Amino acid sequence: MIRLEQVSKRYGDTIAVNGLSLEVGQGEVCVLVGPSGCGKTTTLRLINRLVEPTAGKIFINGQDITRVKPEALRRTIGYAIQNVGLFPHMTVAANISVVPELLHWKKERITSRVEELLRLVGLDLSGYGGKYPSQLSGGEAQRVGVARALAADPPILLMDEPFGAVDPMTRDKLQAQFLRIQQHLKKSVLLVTHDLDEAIRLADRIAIMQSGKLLQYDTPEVILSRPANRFVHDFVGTDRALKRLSRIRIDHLVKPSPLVSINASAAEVISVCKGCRWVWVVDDGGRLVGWLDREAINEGALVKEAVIYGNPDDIAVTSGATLREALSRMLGQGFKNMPVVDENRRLVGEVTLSDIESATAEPEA
Amino acid sequence: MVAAFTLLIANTEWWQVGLKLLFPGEAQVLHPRSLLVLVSEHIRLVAISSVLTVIIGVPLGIWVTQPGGRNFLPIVTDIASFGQTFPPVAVLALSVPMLGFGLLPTVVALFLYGLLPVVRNTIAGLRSVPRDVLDAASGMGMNRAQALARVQIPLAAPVILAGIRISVIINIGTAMIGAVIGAGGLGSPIIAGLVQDNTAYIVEGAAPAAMLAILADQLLADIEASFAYRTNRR
Repeated sequence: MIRLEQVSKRYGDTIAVNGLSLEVGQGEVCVLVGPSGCGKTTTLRLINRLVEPTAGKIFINGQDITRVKPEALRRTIGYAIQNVGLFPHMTVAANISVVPELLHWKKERITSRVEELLRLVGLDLSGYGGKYPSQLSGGEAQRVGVARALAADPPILLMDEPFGAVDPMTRDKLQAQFLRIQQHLKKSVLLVTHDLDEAIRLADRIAIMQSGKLLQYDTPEVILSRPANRFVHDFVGTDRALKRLSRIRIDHLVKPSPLVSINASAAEVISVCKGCRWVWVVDDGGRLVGWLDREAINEGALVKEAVIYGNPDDIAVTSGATLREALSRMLGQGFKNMPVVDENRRLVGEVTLSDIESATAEPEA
Repeated sequence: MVAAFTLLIANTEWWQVGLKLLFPGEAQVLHPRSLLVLVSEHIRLVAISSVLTVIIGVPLGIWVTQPGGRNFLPIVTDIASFGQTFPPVAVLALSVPMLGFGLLPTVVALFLYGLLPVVRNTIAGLRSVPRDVLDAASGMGMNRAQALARVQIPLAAPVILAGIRISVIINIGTAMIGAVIGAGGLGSPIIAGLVQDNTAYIVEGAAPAAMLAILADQLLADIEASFAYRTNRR
């Protein structure tokens, strides 16, 4: 979809981008990361010709981008930047409508498209369309920026630190929203960030850059388990194994677990599991309420009296969580087995520490 | 407000009575030429020169902030500054031999004198547009003209209008000099009053001019405010 061939950009004596060759496939999210000054933003701006290369060629869908007028090219590429750059004198709706208007869309088409996009980014409460940028919070402005970039339904999206200017909680939400939208729309995305965790979370492939050169371009799993050189190794950090945990979900590791109802008798507890000591306790609706030590029951007590109550929010993880969250919870609670619940807090199974260990052991190089 | 002003100017008797009260010693308190005529002459002087200042000054300011004209920014700023430092009376003296007496040389002098606030504010206004906004505009596919028309000028408008307002108000005062070379206007009673040592004449010229300035200030400030609303600088 996007192909850079030996692209270089030089400013006087400084080489910002040095012989970069890169390809982004259709529907793929490529994240450029690297230290400040590595050339990642320049690379991004070479693609929509805000910067012109000193050497090399860039192709989009097989066509050399210098064959098209820059303005025409840019109207087919979504562009979202860190400080958003919303036009302060236009409403949210007018901001989003800019590119469709440049493309001479019909008014009704633009209006329905604006509504669609506001819904997509979660701003479809009435009134957002008529607000001005100065009335928006940082997170809302960022979302309008994304909506604006997607307005004309471009196949390609260029994003320069799009989630950088907000607090960590909002950034987490925006990243989650980005993943949801991307799953739905399957755009070809080139995203620049300095935050490696963000790259690991969002990317199909990560491109690590340094001093204008591309050092490694691969999936996050490979970059974390097989860094290409010393710099990449140091850049991804010494906690690589932990970082990889945030890429894997627990769902395929969840095993059925022994459980009893809170109203059960002692006999049921003993029969439910022969070899295990700890049993999860659920209510009538199947919701997790706590756990039980089988040794306490052997002494003839009732489940209701012997149960140790626990809040699912503290002692369990929801299905769909990452291994990283599960491990963190386990360490915090001191469990080796962690119950897994669905969004209604009903117990669906458990994950064990040893399963997580096997899942993350580094493959043989 | 415009209506109130017109009414005030039209009623010569009020002026006669008021000035006679203030200056009982003067034999004549009203200048021979009618106040209404004087005011309309004055307005004509100010209007023509201000319109010229705007239609030349604003495009000039726009031009030197674009890549094409950037090299000329220092020169244009210098000329505009020079226009304001060079005394209008001197401009008059120099232009009369070439342009004759009356309206034309006065308009030239007023035009030059009023240029600086307009040009300087146009430049400042356009430069104050945030860089991210400009980057977004280009990145989204606006060409130079579209970015200028849809983004830069609307955002710079309040500052530009402030410059125009300042220029017009100064112009109303400076236009007095026209009287020296027969261009008429509210300068006539003032000059006559100075020459004949008649304070009533001077007040007759200065008071309406002050009122005119206040009126113009209000009207232009209202226009400015309507742009500020749109840029939402509440």
